[in-house]
Amino acid sequence: MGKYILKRILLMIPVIIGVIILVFTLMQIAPGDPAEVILGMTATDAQKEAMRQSLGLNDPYIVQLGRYMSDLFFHFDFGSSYITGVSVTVEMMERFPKTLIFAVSSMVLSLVIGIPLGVTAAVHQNSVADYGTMGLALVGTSLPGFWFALVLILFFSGKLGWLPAYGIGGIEYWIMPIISTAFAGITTMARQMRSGMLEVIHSDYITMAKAKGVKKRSVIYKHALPNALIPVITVASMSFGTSLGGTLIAETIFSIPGVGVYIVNAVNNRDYPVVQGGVIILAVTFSIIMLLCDLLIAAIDPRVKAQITGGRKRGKKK
Amino acid sequence: MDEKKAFLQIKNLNVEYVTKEETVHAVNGVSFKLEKGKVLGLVGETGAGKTTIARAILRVLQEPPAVLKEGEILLAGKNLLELPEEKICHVRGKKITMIFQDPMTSLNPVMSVGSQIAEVIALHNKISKNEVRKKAEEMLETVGIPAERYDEFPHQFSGGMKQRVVIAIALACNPALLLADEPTTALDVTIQAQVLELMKKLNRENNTTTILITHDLGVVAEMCDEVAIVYAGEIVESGSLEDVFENPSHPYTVGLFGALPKIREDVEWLSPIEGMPPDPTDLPKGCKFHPRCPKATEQCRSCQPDLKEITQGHKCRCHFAEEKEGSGCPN
Amino acid sequence: MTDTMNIKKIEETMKAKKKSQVLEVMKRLSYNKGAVVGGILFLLVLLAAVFAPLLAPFDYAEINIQDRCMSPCLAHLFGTDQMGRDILSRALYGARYSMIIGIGSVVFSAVFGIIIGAIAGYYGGWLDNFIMRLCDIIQSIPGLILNIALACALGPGIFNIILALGIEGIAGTARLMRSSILNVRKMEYLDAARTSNCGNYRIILKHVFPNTFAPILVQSTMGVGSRIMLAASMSYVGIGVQPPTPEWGAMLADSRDFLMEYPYMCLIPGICIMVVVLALNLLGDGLRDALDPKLKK
Repeated sequence: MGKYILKRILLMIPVIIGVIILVFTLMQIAPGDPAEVILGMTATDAQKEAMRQSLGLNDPYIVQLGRYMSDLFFHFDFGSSYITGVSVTVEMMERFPKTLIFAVSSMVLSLVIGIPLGVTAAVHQNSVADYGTMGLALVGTSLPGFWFALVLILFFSGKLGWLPAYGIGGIEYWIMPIISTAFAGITTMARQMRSGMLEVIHSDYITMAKAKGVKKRSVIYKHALPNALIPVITVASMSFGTSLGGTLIAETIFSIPGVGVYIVNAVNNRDYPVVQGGVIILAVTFSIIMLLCDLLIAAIDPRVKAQITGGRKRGKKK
Repeated sequence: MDEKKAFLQIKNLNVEYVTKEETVHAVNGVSFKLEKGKVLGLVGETGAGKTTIARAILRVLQEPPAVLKEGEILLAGKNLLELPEEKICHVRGKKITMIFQDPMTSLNPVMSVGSQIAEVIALHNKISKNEVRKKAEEMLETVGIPAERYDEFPHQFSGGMKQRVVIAIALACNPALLLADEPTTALDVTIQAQVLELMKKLNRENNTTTILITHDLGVVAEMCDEVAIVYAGEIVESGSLEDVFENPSHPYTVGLFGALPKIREDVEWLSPIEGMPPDPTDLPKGCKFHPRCPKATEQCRSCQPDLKEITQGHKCRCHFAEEKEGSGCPN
Repeated sequence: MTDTMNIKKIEETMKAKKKSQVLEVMKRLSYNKGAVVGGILFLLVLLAAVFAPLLAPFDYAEINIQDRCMSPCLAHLFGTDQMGRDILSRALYGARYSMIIGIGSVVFSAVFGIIIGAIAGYYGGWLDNFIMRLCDIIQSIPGLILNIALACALGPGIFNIILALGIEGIAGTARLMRSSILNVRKMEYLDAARTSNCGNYRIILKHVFPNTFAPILVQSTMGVGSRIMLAASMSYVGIGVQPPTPEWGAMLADSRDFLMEYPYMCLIPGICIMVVVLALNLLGDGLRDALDPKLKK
C-alpha cells in the first residue's frame, strides 16, 4: 500500500508539470502588453521596452518557461503581481486557507446532506421522499449557483435581515456562501447516491443477504451502503472541482478575500502572474483531493486493493 | 398424497412483473405439494418462471416491479405470505434457505467470505463470536474450502469456490427447506458433480426437503424424487421421477426428451421443440403450449386445459393426456 | 453464393432493426413526461432565440431614461432596467446568446472530442498515451477555473467564450469516445466484421460510431445546459460576455447594484437560465433512459 501511495504521488508530478506548462503557455498567448499593465497607458515606448527587458519578457518562450519553473520548484516563487508588485506566493499564503476551508466545508456539507438523501430516496423508491429528492436534485442541477447566492442575499439579508450580505467575520458570514456553493453538490451527491444504491439494491448479493434473514436495516446499511459508496467517492472528488469553481464565483459575490477574487480581479486587470499562480494552486489542490479519494477507494474496496498490491498470496501458510 | 404429510404446499401462486410499459405474467396459478425430505425438480426453459417461484417462497421477490397477485405458501401448515416482515427474517436463512443461480454475483464483494458465512450463523444462533467463527470455518471445510481462506474476499475465489461458499451459507443453519436455483449451471462439469454430490449427502444426512431448479434433465434424473415441468409460468406436468421420465404425457415434456441426445439410439437428428417460448407479456389463449404443439387442435387454441391426474400422483395439463371424455371444457 | 445471400439478408435485417431502434427510442422518449416537457420548453426557447427580433416589443439596446427601473407592468411585462431598457426584449435576445454559446461550444467539443477520442481509442499505442495524458492535465484543472484561464488567454468576446468552453469540453468527450471504442473493440461482432473484410474506416463508421453515439448525445444535451450556466457565471464576474450585451449573465452583472431595490431585474435573467437548463436536463435524463432501458428500473 505504501508503495502504491508513493507511486501515485510520483505519477502526479508529470501531470502538475503539464498543468504548469499549459497555464504558462496560455498566459503567454494572452493579449495585452504586461509592460503597459504595469506602467499604465501614459508610459513611453522606451520605458515599456526597458520594463520588458527587466522582466525578461524579451527572452524566448522556452527560457521564460524554464525560469518560471525553476523559481517555482526551487524557491516556491510564483512571481509578483504586475499591479501591486506584491509577491503572488505571499498573497496566496494569506488567501488560500480561506478558499480551502470554504471549498472543503461546502463539499462536506454536500456529502453530509446528499448521501442520506440519496439513500432514503433509493430505499423508498417511488415514494414521496423519492420524488421530492429527485425533484430537488433536478432543480439543484439546473440552478445557477451564483444566482442562487443572489437570491439568498435578497431574502436573508434584504428581506429578513438575518445574515450579513458580504464580508468575512464570524460563522454567520459563511452560512450563505457555503449553502449556495454546496447546493449543486448536495443534489449531485443525492442523485449519484440514489442511482448507485438502486443498482446495488437490485444486485444478487443483496437478495442473498435478505435470503439469509438479515433485517432490512442491516441489509441497507451493512451490505448495500458500503458497495454503493465506492463509486460515489469518485463523484465526490469530481464535485470538489465544481465546488472550487463555485467558491471562486461566490467569493466575488460575498466579497471573501480568497484565491477566487484574486484570480477574477487579476483576469480583469490582465495581471497574468496572479492568474497563473492562482490557477496552478487550485489545480494542484484539486489533484491532491482526487488522489486522496483514489487512495480512499483503494483502502475500502478489496478488489482495488488486490489490484494495486498485485494480488495477495492465496492463504497464508501456517 | 395426504394433506397432513405435505411439508410445503403452494396454492395458486400468481406473480406478475409490472412496469409502466408492460406486465409480465411470470407465474400463473402454480400449485404443488412436497413431503418432508423429498427432492423436487422444477424443470423448464429460461424465463419459464422457475426462479420467480423460488423467490416468492422466500419472499425475496424484487418489489417493485414484482407483484405477488395471489396465492398461499404453506410451510408445515403456516402461510408464509401472512407473516410480518420481522417474523419472516427468522424463517429466511434458518428454516428456508436458497442457493442462487449466479455465484459470481451472489457474494458481497466488500465482505470477507468467512464473515458472510458467519453472519447467517450469528443471526440464527445465540452463540459467542468465537463459536460463530469456529462454526463458519467448519462450514468452509464442509464444502471443501480450507479454513485459512476465511478472511479472503470473493474476488480471490474461482466461480466454483464461490458457489461452494454460497452453498455453505445456505446450509449453515441446517435448513428444513432448501431452494437450489440452478446451483450447477454456472460451473464446470467436474465441479458440478462435486456440488451435486455435496447436496445429495446433506439431503440424506439432514433430511432436508429440497426444490432443485434446473433445465438439465440429467441432473434431475440423478437428484430428484419428484419432477414438475414448468412452461410459461404454469406446471404442465408433475409426478414422481419414474412417472415423468418413463411415461412423459405432456407434448412439451415429450419434446424436452426428444431434444436430448440418447447414447444408445442411433438417430440422425435431435428433435428440438419448434418455435420459441411465448411472450410472457402476451400469453396465448387456451393451452399456452398450443403454438408449438404438433398435436394442437381447435380445442387447444380456445380452451385452457386443467392439470388433471392421469395416474396416481401423475398430473398433466393437456386435453389429450388421457381419453378425451375427461377434459370437460366449459366452452 | 448462399453465404453472400445470407450476409445481405443479415444486413437488411440489421438496417430494419436500426430504424426500429430509432423509433423505439422515440417511443420511449414520448412516454417520459419530463422529457416531453423539457423538449417542448427547449424548443420554445430556441424559437424565442431565433425569432427574437419579431417577438421583442422594444429595441433591446434602446435607452429610455424616463422609464428606468419600472417594475413589471403591461407595457413592460418584465419591467425595465436602470437605463430604461425593456427587460423582456433583452431576455429574448439573451436567449440567442445563451443558445449560441451553449450549442456552439458543445458542438465544438463534440466534433473535436469524437475525432481525438476515436484516434486515441482506435490506434492505441503512444498516440493514445499522449492524448490521454493531455486529457489528464486538462481534467486536473477544475472546469470553471480552466475556462477562466482560457477566457483570459483568448480575450473577451462571444466567440472566444465559445472557444474556451469548447476546448474545456474536448477532454471529457474524447475520454468518453475512447472508452466506448475500447468497449466496442472487445465485442465479438467486430471480429465478425473484420473477418468479413470490413476496412478500418468502415468499422469505425458502421459499427463503432452508432454504439458510442448514445452516451455522447446524452452528455451533449446536458452539456448545453451546463455551458449556458458556466458562461453566465463567467459573464457575471466580468470574464466573458461584457455588458451591455444582453447575455443573461451579463444582465445579472448589470443589475448587481440594484439587487435590493429592484429584485425583479436580477430574478428574471436567473429564472431564464434556470428554465433552459432545467429543460435540457429533463431532456437529457429522458434521452438517457430511452437510449439505455437497462438503467431504468
